[in-house]
Amino acid sequence: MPLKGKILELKKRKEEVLLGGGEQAIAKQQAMGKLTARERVIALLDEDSFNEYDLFAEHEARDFGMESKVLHGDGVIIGTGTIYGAPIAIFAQDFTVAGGSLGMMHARKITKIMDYALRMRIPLIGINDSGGARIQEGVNSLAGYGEIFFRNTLASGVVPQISVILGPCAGGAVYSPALTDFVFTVDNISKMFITGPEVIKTVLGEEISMEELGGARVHAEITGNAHFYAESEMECFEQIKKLITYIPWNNTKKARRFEPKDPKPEYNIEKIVPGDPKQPYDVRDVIRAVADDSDFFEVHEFWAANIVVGFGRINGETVGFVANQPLVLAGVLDVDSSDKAARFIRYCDAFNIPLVTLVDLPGYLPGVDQEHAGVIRHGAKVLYAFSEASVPKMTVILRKAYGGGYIAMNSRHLRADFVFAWPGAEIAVMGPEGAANIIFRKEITEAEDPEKMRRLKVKEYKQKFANPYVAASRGYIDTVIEPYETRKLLIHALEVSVNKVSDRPWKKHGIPPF
Amino acid sequence: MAKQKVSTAKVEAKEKANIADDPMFRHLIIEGTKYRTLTTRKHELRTKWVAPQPKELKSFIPGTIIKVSVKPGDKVDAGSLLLIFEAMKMMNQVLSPFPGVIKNVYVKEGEKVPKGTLMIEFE
Repeated sequence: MPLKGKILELKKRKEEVLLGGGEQAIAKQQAMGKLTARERVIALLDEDSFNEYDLFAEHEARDFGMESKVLHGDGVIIGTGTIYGAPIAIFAQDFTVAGGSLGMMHARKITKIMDYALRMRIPLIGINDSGGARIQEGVNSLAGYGEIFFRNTLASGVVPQISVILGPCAGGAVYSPALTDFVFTVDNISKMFITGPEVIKTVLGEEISMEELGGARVHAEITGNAHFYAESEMECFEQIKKLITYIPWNNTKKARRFEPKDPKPEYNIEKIVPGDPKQPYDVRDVIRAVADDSDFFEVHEFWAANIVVGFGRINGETVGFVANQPLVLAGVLDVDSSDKAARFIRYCDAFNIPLVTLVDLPGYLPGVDQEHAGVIRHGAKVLYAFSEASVPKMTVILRKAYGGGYIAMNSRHLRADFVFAWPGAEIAVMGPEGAANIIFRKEITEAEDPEKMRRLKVKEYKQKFANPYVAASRGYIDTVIEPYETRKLLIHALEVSVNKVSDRPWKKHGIPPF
Repeated sequence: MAKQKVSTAKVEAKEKANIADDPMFRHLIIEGTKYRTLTTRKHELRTKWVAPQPKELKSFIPGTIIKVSVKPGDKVDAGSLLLIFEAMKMMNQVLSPFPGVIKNVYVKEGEKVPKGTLMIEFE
């Protein structure tokens, strides 16, 4: 056969395989409001940048009639491409082929592209849309999952790993996304759970829909398993592309530098934070008032909203913001917010992203539920993560910084490189009300008018201790600044930190309070 | 809900003179200080703690009552069989944790009970 004929044969073979599970299955996928795996990859990556591998992969299963079944690509697409020019390794499960079920060849394709990402030190994106293990392949399918989890762990902190849940992702399959850095979900499309509604109904008699049990909103707001939530697949892809602009290719690189831009004038840093520490405001406005172009890309926007974490740029360089949010639950630290902050801090540290911490918190959330849920263990994660982080660490104390919360929020004592405080900062063991009640208990109870005496003593305590100057006199704060100076000082702090060295004792790894 | 929550959380600080005037705000007391703040759905949904009632035997998992071995007025020792309770395909022997007298039995053999059902009460 001349070459021309061979090329024709290749084209014919490709055409057949590219149809995935066939027109009927594709129509079904579309009826569910979902794009096909190939459409997703093409929509996400730069135009014409996708190169697919293992297109002609075939399974080797011999039981339960599988020997006569042809599963194109074995239900998964793998390849490489670019996003805004950054190289990306990607896999996308193809639900039109045997429900995207994971068999041995399917898993081998995924692990092949994972190995590639790790070897080339480039980010990995996995699009999950699968009914789960391919039952006919038995233990081989389980082995496949295990091989994936192992690689997720090896790659963790070396290359960025992103999971996109665009369909069911149930049982053991959920653990690959859970091991990756960021999980993206889409309303009405993403479904993640360990045991589904049917099992829960038969075993426990509790009736719940898939959406209520493990839909995108649940994971974005209640469980925290999802870092990002979108209303459509296209919105989700835009979020992923945006994330890629903030993060480096791997842990030896810095994130791409952008042209510095001033914050937008509508975010007036002098006017955002009310003087009264009991009054709320949206701390994201403070972030926008110091970030380039007032651009803030929030992670975990809906979960544990009492702390805000996310990426922005200062003077063109990516930084990770960690900020107490007085708008929600007064900005307290609790089980979930500690978990959220600690994970984000570790991400930034692993990928050379300097940390900017904005402090305004009254302390920890009181409650039996919190104590019994292990707030001690979870709260300790924040201390661990900040202490461990060796990237440049800047702290700005905006208002309250009381007690253990003050220590936890990247204080000097946990080796913050720079600690700035605004003039309204109150750095104290506790709020003036609580402190006065304890210190002046005798005077208050013995006074003729205890309420009047209490107010007097609160005022006295406030004047003496509810300010930044006691901490400044000990060097716990480097300088007290006016709000408008914040951005200028953060830029300066980043400039002088470029060659930061931080010496740590050798260890195999620490034992964080997981 | 998630997207709606954003709009509450956004409560445009720039446009409103005082965002604390929003009726969604509540008070949260921490160490004697009252803070005005929004709350979260998860915080609102948290289960309130109740002190354990050692004299009430409740199902800790949904299941089926296979056998009831005691009736009101029976004296039991620690370790006496009270019920056989099938849950998660296991026949669980429910034994008395302490000696006592049965005040009431609230379940019948063959009955399916949800989690947290009061099954037996001690005097």
